[in-house]
Amino acid sequence: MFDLRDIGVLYRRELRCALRERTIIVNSIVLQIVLYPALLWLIYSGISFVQGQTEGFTSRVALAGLPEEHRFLREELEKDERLALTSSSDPESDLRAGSLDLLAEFEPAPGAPAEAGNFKVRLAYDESRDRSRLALERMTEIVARYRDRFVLQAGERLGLEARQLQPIRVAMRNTASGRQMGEFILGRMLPVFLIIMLAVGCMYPAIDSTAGEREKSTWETTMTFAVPRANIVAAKYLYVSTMAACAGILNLAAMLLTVKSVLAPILGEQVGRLTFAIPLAAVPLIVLMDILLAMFVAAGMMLLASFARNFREGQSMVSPFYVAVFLPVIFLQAPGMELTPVTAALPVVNVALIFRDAISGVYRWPLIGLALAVEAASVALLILLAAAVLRHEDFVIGSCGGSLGRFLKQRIIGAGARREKAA
Amino acid sequence: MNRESVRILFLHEMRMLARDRRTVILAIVLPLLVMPLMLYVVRSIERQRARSLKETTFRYALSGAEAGTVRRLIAARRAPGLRLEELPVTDAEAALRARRIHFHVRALSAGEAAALEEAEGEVSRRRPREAPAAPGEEAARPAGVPLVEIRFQGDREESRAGAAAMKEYLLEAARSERDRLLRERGWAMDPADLFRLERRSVAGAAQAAGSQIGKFLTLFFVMFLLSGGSVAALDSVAGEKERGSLETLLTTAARRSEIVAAKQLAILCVALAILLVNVANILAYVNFKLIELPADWEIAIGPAAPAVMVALLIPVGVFLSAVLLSLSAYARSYKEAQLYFFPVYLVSLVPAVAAVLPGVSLRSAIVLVPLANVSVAVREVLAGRFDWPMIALAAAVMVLAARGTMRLSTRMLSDERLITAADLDAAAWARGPALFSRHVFAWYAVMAAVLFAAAVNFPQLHSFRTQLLFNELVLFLGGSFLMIWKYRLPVRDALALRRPRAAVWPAVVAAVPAGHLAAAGVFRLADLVVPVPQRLLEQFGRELMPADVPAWQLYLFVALLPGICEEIAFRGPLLYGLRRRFRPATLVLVVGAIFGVFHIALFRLIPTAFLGMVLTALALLTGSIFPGMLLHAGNNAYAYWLARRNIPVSEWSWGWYAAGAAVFAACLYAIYRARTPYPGLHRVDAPRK
Amino acid sequence: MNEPVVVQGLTKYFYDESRGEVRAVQEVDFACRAGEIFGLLGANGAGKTTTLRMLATILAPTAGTASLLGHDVVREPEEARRHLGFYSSSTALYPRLTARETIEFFARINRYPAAQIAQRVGELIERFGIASYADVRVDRLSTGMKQKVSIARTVAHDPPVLIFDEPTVGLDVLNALELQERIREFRAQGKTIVFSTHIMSEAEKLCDRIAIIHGGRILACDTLDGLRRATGMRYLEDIFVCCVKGRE
Repeated sequence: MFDLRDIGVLYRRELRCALRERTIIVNSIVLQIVLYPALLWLIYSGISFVQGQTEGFTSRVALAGLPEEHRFLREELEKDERLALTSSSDPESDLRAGSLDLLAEFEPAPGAPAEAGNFKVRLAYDESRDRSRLALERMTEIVARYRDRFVLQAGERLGLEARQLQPIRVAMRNTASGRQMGEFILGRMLPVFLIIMLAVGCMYPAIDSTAGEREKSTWETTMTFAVPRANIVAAKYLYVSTMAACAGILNLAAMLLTVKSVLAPILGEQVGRLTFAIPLAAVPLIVLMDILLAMFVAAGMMLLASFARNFREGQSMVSPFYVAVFLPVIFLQAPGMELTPVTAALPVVNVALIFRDAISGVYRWPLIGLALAVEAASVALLILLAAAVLRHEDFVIGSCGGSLGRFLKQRIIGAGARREKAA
Repeated sequence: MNRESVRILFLHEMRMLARDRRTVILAIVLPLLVMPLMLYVVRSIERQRARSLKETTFRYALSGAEAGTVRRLIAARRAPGLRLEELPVTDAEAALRARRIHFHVRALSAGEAAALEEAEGEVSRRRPREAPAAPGEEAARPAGVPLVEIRFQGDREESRAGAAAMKEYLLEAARSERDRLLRERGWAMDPADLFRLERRSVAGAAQAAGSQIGKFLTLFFVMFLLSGGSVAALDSVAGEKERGSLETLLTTAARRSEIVAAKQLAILCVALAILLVNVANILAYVNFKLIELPADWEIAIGPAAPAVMVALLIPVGVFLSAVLLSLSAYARSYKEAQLYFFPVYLVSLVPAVAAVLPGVSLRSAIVLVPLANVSVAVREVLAGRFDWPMIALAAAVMVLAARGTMRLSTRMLSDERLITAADLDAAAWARGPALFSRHVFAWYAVMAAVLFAAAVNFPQLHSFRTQLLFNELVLFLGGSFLMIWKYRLPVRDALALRRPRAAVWPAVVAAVPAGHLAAAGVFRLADLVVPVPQRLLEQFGRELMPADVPAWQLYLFVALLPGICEEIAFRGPLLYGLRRRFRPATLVLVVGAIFGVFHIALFRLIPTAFLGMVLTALALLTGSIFPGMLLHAGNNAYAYWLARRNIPVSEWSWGWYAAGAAVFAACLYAIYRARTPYPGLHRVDAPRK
Repeated sequence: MNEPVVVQGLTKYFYDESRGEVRAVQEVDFACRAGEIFGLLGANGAGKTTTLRMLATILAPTAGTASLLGHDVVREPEEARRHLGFYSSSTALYPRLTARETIEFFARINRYPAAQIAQRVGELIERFGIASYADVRVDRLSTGMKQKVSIARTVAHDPPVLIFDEPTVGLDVLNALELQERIREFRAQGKTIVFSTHIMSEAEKLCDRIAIIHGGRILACDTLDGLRRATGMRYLEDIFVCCVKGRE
């Protein structure tokens, strides 16, 4: 039934046409490659801009009633470049108007012995202004530091050593290697992006090869080829799967090349020690799963889009399937979500989990086998459905008015009515 | 404009939309189904995560010379809710890797800590300005203080969470120990009462909440309006062109402006309807606690705020629907319109983000930037601050922008090339040069991506010299000649290798310092809207003038090489390829903007785009690439010379900039008088009314 | 029968939701000789397109048989299509292929000998005067140019049987005349041509024999002179009306 030569000729034609179609090139190829550099530029620029804004803020602070014995606090406030001490005749109004960021009023602390030098600080600010909130944070932090130093000095006067007053200091040390951290981050990000972008890369070719042909009136032309219809469908399916798989691989490559830079403004200095790489041994498995997923998504989208009369209808038909494909990946973020017999039996989710494990060099072969079988079975089921639909002549010559519902109604309900009539 | 015509056309548009049930249902029903599901799942995951961490007993190993101290501190402190269990292990690191423990607490003596830190080169640590030392960490390092190192596996959530909890626990325990010692020595004060802070906000809870909501309101408005409006807009003109019904419509008695008004009204109605559905959605989510608002929020909107917001947001709606309509009019098919939609969507979101940025005030240049001004104004209004003159100015700017965009869509419907879907330009059949004009943007997009990706991913290119050599020679020069070869472009024309008139040269030489001053003025103006981080400026200066490179090499790399290679790239094939696609003024803007984008950093974009526009204008006026080369190389060399002598041009007074701009304008005028126009530019046909 | 095209008792019923069973073609019989232009003349909805689609194996007959060069359209559809060139106003070209690529593709997919394809393509480009735009994408061509490319691709694999289903719809006078001339050339080459139209003058000028089809049935089938003798009318229009009214 399948003539590889015919399928080859048809497949090459589909590819050639696709690579000349701007929409397909942009969505299936260009977007996969440039999305991350563009994202990088946007993030870098955005963060630089915000940093520029924040850095430039000097918090305008008015002090009132700071005790003379705490002049060191005043000196510390004056030394801090982030603050500008100012005076105000009506601080409340100035706070509301935004010309003052913070008013710090010092009062003796109630009930404390006078010689302790304790005070209470009333910090008045405007919660609805970012600058004012920033001033509050800065002031809080400076007072906290002053407090600690004051306690240390008080302790020394009481005969305590500094070491007693600070029994320990604590430091955190991440012992995960740069590679492990890279794998962790990649494992969180990569499957999600891969699945979404694979579906994006698949959508246009799927619609173009089905609804698009009806729209361009080349559907009938195609039906007159001297090849079995099955070969035509096989070639189209191969083409759409190819585009989807390539979109996935391109996305993966682009992500690996740019993820470090995308995360640099967010992770800061830490990003330097991270290694973002996929173990070479994992590549064949990842490519295989990418191909299977591409075949699954291609089959589903083509089946739905083939009912549409034009591109726009095709998009409407395919959108719910597209959503259904990427929705399960949200579950990946759930704690403890890993490849189990249950998750291995769920299409798309199983692929995402295998990706994540493969990045970390973990291979649960029996479950991988189960996932492969499930994916293959899903693909086969969709292809069978497609074959069943294509057998119907009214579908071949038209598209049932672009209505899947009408097709089902005619084929199932309508067939029932005809059988009754015949009886 | 005939209102009755507009009404008839509007009803016709709405009827066509209403009959496309599938698209409209999907635009409304699909988000209604998907969003709550996603929110529910996300919330469940978060709750599950929090519960799982709360119920976890964190297992840890304790080792080191000061393990006893740590054990004592842990025992002395009771922390309800945190479950800790010490496990005796022989090899703590192995146990951590094998997941038998969540983290490893290594208590080092002071001597061991000092040796460790010296070995790691951390003798002195400089803290970044925004993150001063937390108490107990590094601010003061009294001698003889043990270091407790909490070692965890960053790629495991429980390990991270456990280590963070343990750190807080130990710090609190250390504080408690300190306080106990002080009390024993007779210190009467409770350290917790020392310098107690009381916070009071002059803004009410409603104002604070309003300010937070106001930051995002315009952004969401723009997002929903664009995505909802696109449902109607993309098919409105582009789809009609495809079907051939646009021509039918244009042959009726209705005016172009009436057709545009009716379509725009239809787009606006659909967009607002979908927006209202989504808003109702969100309110339902808040009601059913799928989205939880902060507990201290109080939502109270005064009587003036809704009216002011409507006055601000309606022009935004009109503006955006006009943008969508223009996009649809420009595209030749529905698919093409969709292609343009995504970048337009992203670009429209950027100004709408203005309110999120800290410290952006309505009383600044931002009031003149459409969308950004409304974004900030809405935030101020919801925060209960009514700066009436600025609000009125923002609304006026928005109305002008909306009007301008509506006129643009009307003009587009008069452009013959855009009305018909077919393109039968016989010249386009020819391969080579004619094809290049269609591909030129793609080539430069790829070059920009390569520039970016290469700089980021290849450490070999991180050095000043190699990066410049790669960019200038390989990318710009190599890329230009590749294009010339592939499309068989005539070299002389593609590179504008023509001799300009002699009178041009003195004007160009005089324009070097004057232009530099003018550009500095532009930079200062840009800084008002896009403030440049000082750190970035300093870093840029260090990168451009590395200390280990001799001056003559710097002049070569910074001035001569870019002056030649960048001119070849941007005033060569790029200008040549686009010369027929845009009118001269637009060509200057487009080529200048692309030149700016290639300089990557946001803070350099506006001044370099300005320089790019000047250089493009120079090429168009003289028909030659050579004056631009001189101006570009001269400008860079002059800037470098000033920097070497620490002459801070960017801090001069505005008078200097104005003077520079005046001299520069005079030079440009002189060049204009001696002009030799660039051949083959776009010719404009008078638009039909 | 040894004729290249043989149709016997060809019937097609559709089921329509609103109208119920629709008898589009009812027991149509005809045979076409080599080197003949056989015309199917009828109004819109008469059953011409349905009949031709069954011959082109796009639709399956409800009853009856049809064969192209002895290959039954139901049992050997690929073989039937291999010997057929089908041209219709609803069979458009692939917009993103160039004219040359289009012709080459159709030759290849319809099993023209691979070694001869390049030569065949060159010949067709020459014959149809497509050389000046052979390497231009189809979506950039004018209607007339597209028509030439369409005809070229129809005969790319040199099929012995050609079906033209209302081919002059939408063409201007000059292009329509040129198409008619091509069809005559094909007849001169010995090809069997089935030509459907509702334009009387076209049928008069081109067809060797004309079958008048109405309501899915063939009401008359003869040469123009034979039809004139049978009906006593001179003009085909009158002959057509006479046949249709006579049936009613």
